[in-house]
Amino acid sequence: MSSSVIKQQTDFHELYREHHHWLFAMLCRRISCTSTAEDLSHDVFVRLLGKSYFPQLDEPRAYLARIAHGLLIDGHRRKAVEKSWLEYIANQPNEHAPSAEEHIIIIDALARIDVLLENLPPRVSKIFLMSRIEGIGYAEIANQLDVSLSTVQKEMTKALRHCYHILIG
Amino acid sequence: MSDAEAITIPNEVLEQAFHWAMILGDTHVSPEEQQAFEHWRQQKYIHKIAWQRIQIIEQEFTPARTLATQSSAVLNNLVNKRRNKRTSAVGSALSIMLMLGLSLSYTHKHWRYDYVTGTGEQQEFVLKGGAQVYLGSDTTIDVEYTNTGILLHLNSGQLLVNSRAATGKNKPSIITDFGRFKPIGTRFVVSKLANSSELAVTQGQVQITAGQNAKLALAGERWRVSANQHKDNKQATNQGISGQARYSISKQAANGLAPDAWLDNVIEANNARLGDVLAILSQHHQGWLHYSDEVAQLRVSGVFRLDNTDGALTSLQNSLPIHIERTTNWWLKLTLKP
Repeated sequence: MSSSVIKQQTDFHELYREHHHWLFAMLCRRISCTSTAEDLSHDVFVRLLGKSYFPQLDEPRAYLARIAHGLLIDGHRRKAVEKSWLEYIANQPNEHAPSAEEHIIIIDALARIDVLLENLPPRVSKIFLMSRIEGIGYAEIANQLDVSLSTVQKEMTKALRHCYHILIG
Repeated sequence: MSDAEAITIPNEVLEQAFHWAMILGDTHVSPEEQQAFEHWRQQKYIHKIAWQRIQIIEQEFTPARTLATQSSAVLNNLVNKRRNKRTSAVGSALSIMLMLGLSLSYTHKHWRYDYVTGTGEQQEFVLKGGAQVYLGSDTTIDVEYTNTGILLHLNSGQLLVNSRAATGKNKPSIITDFGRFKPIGTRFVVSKLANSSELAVTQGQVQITAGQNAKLALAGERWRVSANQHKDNKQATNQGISGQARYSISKQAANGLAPDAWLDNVIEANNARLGDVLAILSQHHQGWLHYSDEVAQLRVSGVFRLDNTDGALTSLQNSLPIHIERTTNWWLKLTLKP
């Protein structure tokens, strides 16, 4: 066994030992079904083992949480997002149609974001999307939605806090 | 190995990280802000960890930016669909409640407003900037802070604004279906009636705007804004030539009622029409109050308590030639004594 493989195994064991309980607890909070949470936390580590190289982790919990977040997107949501996407595209005849690969990537990305927005008030969602996806500045958002700059800033902070607590606890 | 160490980030550090993520998320960040952020990040190891950890949020949004317009539109559609579903679910649940009894009716009407008072209730609060707002009985309002000022949407009932403590943009404007009331001075009452809005200015001045009409109301005056009921009004609106024709603003004769007496929970009448007094009493009375035109035409003076409408009705019965017929406690009928 080469030294790098041994190093990887040690890393993995340590990662598992340190974070397995935390990951399980985090998943329990998100889905409130103990046995599924157990399965999913196991799946997260299986995904990690399946990587061709072991990532250098600055923040292992953020990394594990991102894998877990992807596993929590169910087929039902994916379908709803895809339906909404196709409806939108159908009404925009002039826009270029994404390739099959782009299509899969974008549906996945949107489904992941949709989970985060689920319990945010609509206006907070709207502001957050304008900023984080469309890249519009706060002053312009305030202007477009006819709210104050401080409201935009307050709602942005609210949205960041909300997403963080969903993703990582 | 430090990589895998489980680090718990204190809440206040997380809050600081959210604050910085918000600041740096704007399209323009000043060099001072950038410097202050770097200072914070370098200050403590835990700050660095917190900053790294919250990048998880940013990473979730990055892929969608390649198709930004489409992504944003699709996600907003999903959010709105979800909200509509929820709203209709709440709506049907409340309609079922309504059938359970009349006493629940006001919770049904008012579930979506910022501030609500029930029959006979009052509420007082202070807006950002210092203006005081008093809500009368059965009143619903929404408060909106905008770039240009504070808007109070009066959906039903009446409110009194005392904006003496507020200056400039902090003086709230009142919006009703019929017009907009902007204070220049200090203290005034706006009431939303069935087909009009009424303004009474007790101190200072108020600018009234309705469609393209504007009037200045002075202290001591009472004004009414209503929609014109002309036969061809609808047609005119459809042709897009209305605007100035749709609303009328008219000064009202003195009605013998102190406009802000409800703040002290009373009606103060000085040779007022009984109909006007009964209209206010019925807003505070639990149940239905019916009266004939002849009864409404009677004149009355006195102070009547709003928190005891039965007592007020009894004292009216003792001093005026009227008879009160009680079918049930919910159903009162006032007629002239033969």
